Amino acid sequence: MNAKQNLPFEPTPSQTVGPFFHHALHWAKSEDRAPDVGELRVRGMIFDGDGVGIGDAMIEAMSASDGKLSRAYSHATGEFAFTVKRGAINAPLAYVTVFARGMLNHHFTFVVDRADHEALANIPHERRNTLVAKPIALNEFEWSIRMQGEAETAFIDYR
Amino acid sequence: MNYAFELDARKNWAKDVYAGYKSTKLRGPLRSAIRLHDSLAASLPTQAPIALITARDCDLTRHGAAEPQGQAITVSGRVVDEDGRAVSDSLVEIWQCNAAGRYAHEKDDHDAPLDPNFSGWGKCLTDSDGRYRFKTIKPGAYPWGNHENAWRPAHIHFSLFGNVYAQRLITQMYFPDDPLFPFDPIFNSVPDAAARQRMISQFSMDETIPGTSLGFTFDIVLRGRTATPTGM
Ligand SMILES: [Fe+2]
Repeated sequence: MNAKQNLPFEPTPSQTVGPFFHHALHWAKSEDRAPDVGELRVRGMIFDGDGVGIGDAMIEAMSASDGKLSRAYSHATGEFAFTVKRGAINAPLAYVTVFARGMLNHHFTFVVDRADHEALANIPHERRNTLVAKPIALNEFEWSIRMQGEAETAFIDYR
Repeated sequence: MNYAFELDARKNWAKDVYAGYKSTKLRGPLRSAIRLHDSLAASLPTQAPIALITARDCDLTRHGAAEPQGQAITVSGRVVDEDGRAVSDSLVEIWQCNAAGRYAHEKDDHDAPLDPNFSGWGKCLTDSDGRYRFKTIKPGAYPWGNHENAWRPAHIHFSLFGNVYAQRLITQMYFPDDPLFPFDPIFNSVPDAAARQRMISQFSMDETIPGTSLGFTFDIVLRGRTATPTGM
């Protein structure tokens, strides 16, 4: 019944990234830049349960094409942006991991460019739109992350 | 869905909204994460710019003009997945406050001295057997504003990428027998006592270097039986 019980090693729990990660993780941080040929940029806001922007979040995006990391820090207002290489047509625009003070676990999610994207097939209908970015220019998208509320972003457990 | 299974899986994981830690109230998701299998998330390694790593990045005592203040220690261990397989050639990043409990970070307003010889950040790759080693100083405990007389037990922040996207983990490593454990909501956000023990390093006389540094060992287990492709 429970396959996990047969595993020899139990996982190390997650703890919050806290407020003091910025300098330590900066070496791998990506600059906010316009997309090159074959790339796309996603910009948006990260909001808490009161609809207030989270100013000390880290948003990591992984390209569905080459796995390359784009590490972004949210600004004081909660704005963030990342640029990644575009993957296959049936792949998400990016795989995203969210960290912040006040989050005891990281949260996996992903973003796609259309409501009928096949990556949404196993996401409940009423939550699909939380993963759909809005095109705003050529290879530029707008997508926000909401930690709570009516439009709480669908977060994913890949176990 | 087997409810007992869900409970069992969650006991190893911190609560998203935990009354003791105030900032979780508006930042923790209220709905359960959606369980998915995704072949890319389970197979694609996240490519961090590891070519930038230098040999001295794992020795935090050599980032200033002189030795930092505090007790010199090594922190070493092995990173494995839930099947016990080594997580090799994988990025490990750490950060910590100095011996007085102060971070070299402009948002840290704790009234303890900065150490000009200690930045408190390091990184390295695990070797082919999943092993890593840092030299640093023992971080101090520090106060924070969560509640009256709140103090964090001494800890080192760890960030790990694993071999595939879905293995990502950020955690904190604690030191044995810290008297602050019962009072710390972040440590106690993990429901299971055995799981909390897995965040505590062990003192090791074998890793203690005569006349130089105390040794602490900290093994890390990343999730990912299903998140790791077979044959890896
Ligand atoms: Fe800390």
